[in-house]
Amino acid sequence: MDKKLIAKRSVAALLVLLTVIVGIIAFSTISPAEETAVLKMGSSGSQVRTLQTKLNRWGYDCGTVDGIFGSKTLAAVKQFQKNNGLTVDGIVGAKTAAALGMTLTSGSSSNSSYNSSDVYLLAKCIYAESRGEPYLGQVAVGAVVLNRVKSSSFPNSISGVIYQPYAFTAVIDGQINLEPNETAYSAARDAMNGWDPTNGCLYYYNPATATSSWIWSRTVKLTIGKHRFAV
Amino acid sequence: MLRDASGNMVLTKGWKIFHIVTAIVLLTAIILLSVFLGLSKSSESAWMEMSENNFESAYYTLSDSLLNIENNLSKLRVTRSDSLSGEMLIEIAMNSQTAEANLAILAYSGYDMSALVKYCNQVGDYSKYLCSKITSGEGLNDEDYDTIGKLYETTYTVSKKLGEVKDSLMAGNKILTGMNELNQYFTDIADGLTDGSIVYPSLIYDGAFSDSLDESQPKALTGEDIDSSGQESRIRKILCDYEVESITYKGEGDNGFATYIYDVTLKDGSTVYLQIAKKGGSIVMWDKEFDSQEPKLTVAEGVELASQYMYKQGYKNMKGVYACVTDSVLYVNMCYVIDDTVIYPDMIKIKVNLDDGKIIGFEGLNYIYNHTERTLDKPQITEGEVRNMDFGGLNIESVRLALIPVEGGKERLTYEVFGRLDEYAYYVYIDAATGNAVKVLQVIDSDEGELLM
Repeated sequence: MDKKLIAKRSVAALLVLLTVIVGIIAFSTISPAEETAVLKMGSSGSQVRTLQTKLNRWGYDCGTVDGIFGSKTLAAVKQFQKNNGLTVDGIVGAKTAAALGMTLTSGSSSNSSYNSSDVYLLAKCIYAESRGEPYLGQVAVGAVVLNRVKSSSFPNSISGVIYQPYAFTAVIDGQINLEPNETAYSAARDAMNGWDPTNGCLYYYNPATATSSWIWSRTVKLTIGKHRFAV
Repeated sequence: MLRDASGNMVLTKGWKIFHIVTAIVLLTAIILLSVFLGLSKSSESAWMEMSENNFESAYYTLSDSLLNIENNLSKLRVTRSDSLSGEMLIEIAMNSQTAEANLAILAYSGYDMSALVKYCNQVGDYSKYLCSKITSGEGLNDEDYDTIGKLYETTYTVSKKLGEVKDSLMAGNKILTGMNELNQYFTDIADGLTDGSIVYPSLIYDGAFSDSLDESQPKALTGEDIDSSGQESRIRKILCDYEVESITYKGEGDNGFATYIYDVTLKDGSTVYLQIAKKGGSIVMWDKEFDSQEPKLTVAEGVELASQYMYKQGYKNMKGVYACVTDSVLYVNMCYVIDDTVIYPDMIKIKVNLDDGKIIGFEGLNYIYNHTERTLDKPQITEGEVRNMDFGGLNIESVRLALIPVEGGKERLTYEVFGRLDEYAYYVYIDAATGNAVKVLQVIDSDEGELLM
């Protein structure tokens, strides 16, 4: 029996052991990535303005400098990242910002972007709850969230309503963390601007997937797509 | 592996070493795994412990806030000093906010807190309303004191019932795992608040969470009831920018008034959702799906298109007062304007696609509810006087007369002062009769639109 083979096998076994240990350690110490200042789809404010101005100046087309990170800005950022050998993720983090010659700050800007983060949250909720539904159905889901904010029986902020326990299935099963698409953004903006196809409804449900029995007892006001909207 | 003559396996020295190493490796792996599992088990219980502590902390903070509310309501009953009453009301408003935030945390443990949330929202909102009554010089009347007395009773009962939870916690029950034991206390409170067994005055006041039923009537609806069928030409006129393929009547809607709902399929394959009023057939709202493109038109051109659309649909004296663009969509707020005064309650919002200049949405609920011919009071102060007022360094860019909606469905004639301070834009509304500031708005959204003059 050659010793080399044995040695090899021993080494292999040790490697397996090592992998297991490393895996266990990595698994048990996994932690969410540290929050740093980034600009991404849905961001807005003076930093986005700076970003757009810079990109436009260098021939990447962001459209009008409006301080809102929309689809055009996203495309421009991706192109910039591609041309500069950066990870093409459309997110302006520290590396992309450095390549652009700008420094990202966080904190002080949170106040000024209050409303944009509301649009972002609302779009996330709409996308998670009703993507695949007709456009109007998506606006209606946004309107239901905003109607709840206005109602005394629900929390008084968009985040409060969306993250209210057991209110939205998409929050419970984690779908809320999917990135919303353009349609969801448009629907969110429509709802924020007052379009309410539900006539003030506080509830909606999809008869095929509804789990709470009490929701059937509400007066149904209208049906858009698969969702029924109830008072 | 080697075999001897009879076929039995013979272990060489090398193989022995290999087996020993394998055994050690396996043993270590097993030990490590069990240590890890034990750790994760203990970290799970640590998490449980932490959650329980959070929930209990929320419970105790909630109890404290309610006690503070109760205490201040109690003192308010015997206080007739405006400044002192004001302080107490602010205390109540602050504590109801704290209570609400902690109710939200408690709700994560699975209990239904909506009745208590409503109670906290109302008490806080009502206190703010009473506070503004005091600061405006109106003061509190007997009816207010009566309501305060009843609210005190409500809070007293709720606090007491909430205290029973504490007894149960002290007896060793946990919020996280003792739901069977604890839920009864919370359900009792919720039931009591809704079925009337706990005194809970109906709060009717000029505020966002008032109990007053929305009794407002749609003022702009006139004419006879129309039929849901036979509206094809009407609908084609509303969607004059498009070629209509087919119209499907979806049924009656209820917006506080009866509406007809239609799905309209256009020749380009997209769908429009459309609602018109049963009475007289006014447009309530419509919305069309669209693809956001590169804007080719300017805001001014878009506003002009919106104005033309309004005119074609028979709305007179409507002027674009505010516009805001996202991607290629322009939202224009169109308001009724008389004598150079912007009537904000009579507002219609129009969406214009700046890519092809087509109208893609209409929202007219505010207009339908509020529009009527009004006789406006003559302003008691002049624009010049307003411009000379102290706005704390605000660089005034424009001043104009505007009728604005105020709490409680009322309207007030004001001067709208628009200006900038540092990087922010502000709207200050000055009562045209008294010169008092009624409202201050700050544009905090970076979707900053522009005021159209």
